[in-house]
Amino acid sequence: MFNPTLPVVNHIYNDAGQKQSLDQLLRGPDKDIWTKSASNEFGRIAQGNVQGVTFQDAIDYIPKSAVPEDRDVTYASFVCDYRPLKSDPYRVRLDVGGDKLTYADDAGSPAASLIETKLLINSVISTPGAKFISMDLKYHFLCPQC
Amino acid sequence: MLNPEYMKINFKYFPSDIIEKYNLNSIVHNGYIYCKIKKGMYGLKQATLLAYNYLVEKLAPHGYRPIPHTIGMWKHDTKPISFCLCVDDFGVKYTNKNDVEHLLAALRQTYKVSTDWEGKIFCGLTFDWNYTKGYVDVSIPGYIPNVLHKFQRSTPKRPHRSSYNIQPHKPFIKGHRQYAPEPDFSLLLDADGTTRVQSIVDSLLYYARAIDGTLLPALNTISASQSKPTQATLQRCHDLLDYVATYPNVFLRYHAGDMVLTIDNDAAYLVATKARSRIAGNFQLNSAKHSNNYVNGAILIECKTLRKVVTSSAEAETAGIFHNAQVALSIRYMLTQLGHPQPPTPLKTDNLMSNNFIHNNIAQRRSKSWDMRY
Repeated sequence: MFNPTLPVVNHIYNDAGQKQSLDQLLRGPDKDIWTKSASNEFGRIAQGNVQGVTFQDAIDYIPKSAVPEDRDVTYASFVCDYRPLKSDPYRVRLDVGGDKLTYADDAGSPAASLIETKLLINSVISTPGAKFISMDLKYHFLCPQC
Repeated sequence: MLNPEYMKINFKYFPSDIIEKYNLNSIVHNGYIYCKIKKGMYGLKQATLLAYNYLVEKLAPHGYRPIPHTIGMWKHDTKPISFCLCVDDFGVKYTNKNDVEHLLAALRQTYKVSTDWEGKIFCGLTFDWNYTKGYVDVSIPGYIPNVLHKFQRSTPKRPHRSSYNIQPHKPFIKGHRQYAPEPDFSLLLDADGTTRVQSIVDSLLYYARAIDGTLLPALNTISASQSKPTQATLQRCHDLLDYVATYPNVFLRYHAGDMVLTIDNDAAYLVATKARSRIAGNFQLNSAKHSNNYVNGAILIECKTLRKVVTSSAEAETAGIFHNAQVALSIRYMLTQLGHPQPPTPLKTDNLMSNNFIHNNIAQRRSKSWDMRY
């Protein structure tokens, strides 16, 4: 079913071409691999696991009684992937169902517009001695503290 | 996060080591484990905002702050360094390499950062810098061939030299009436055709705003009918694709200058359906002295259809000047913040009555609506 020698960088499919869910993978022939990956993900977003994964402390497991009555509770979905070039090639990632949550404020983040970009590069070329450099942040949305 | 979110996860997904470590058997409820989300995660609506706020918080102690009243421009409190921030991409203007090292050191305390010291690519735009000769070329290489491939449109046999399907010229005869274009009575497109029209507009809009402003009038016309497109709308889209196929390698060239904002205004009276008029503005940064022997690329081209019906070409022109002057306010502010203080901005118009109306040089009659709007 699963050939790790192929450089597959998509979802996991079985021989019939059907996409496999985490539930199916945890019951399939490679269940040991995916059980370990799922453990790493649950530990990574919480406070670690027995395998010593680096954790983010993004969630707490709580009893139902600790959820305020006036708050929406959403679902979680899982994305399973094989990334041969990564240090952890068998990947399970938990995705929060954002569509079921209410965020009253504007959730967008400010981002430079085209006019601002054009003004900046005009400023660079028109300022004696000025130069331009571009930079890129990695894992911006997975910042460990926010 | 000030207000934590909550989610539930089916208990069957949890491996035994996690169940044991967190003692989940004691808190399972109807087959689900409940979780309190305390930080940014994939899927949260506010994830980008949390990441942005975190970046603001981390850069503030080092003296980097967003410039108030701008969207994505930042500068340092004392150092001569400023940058545009587009999600996780930085485009940085600097005069001293040590200032960039200071910014990099501040970012690397929290993030992994990759750098391109040549500053070739930012926001999907490719820059070809020529500092010694004092110009920079801005382009998006390969974009148009990809769009043509996406819509399976080959290069036209005959070059298509206008983004509009040009009508044969009819010389105006005194005493004859000029009629507005006939309404579009061609057949409505089906769902697939509608999606195709909307996809073409979507694909070309960023390119038009970023690089090739000559597409904007045609896109403006098409987008006015893209919710209920007809066969004629699709033909206009194909004309537009033929036009970009004729000119696939457009680039903008910006020359070094005094960074003085100048605006050319124009208006076209009753050129759109439902008796609408169209306004346009060409925003450039030129030298204060008229010594240039080049035409600087536009930093912004406004092309809009007026929502209100205007009663004369002069009113349309005045509406255009009014709109462009409003847009210029924020640009003047940004230029000042970047260290280019602005003299009074020249606005050019080719309409004498509009010019006199603005300078209050005419005796006005029946112009109450003008006075109220503009």
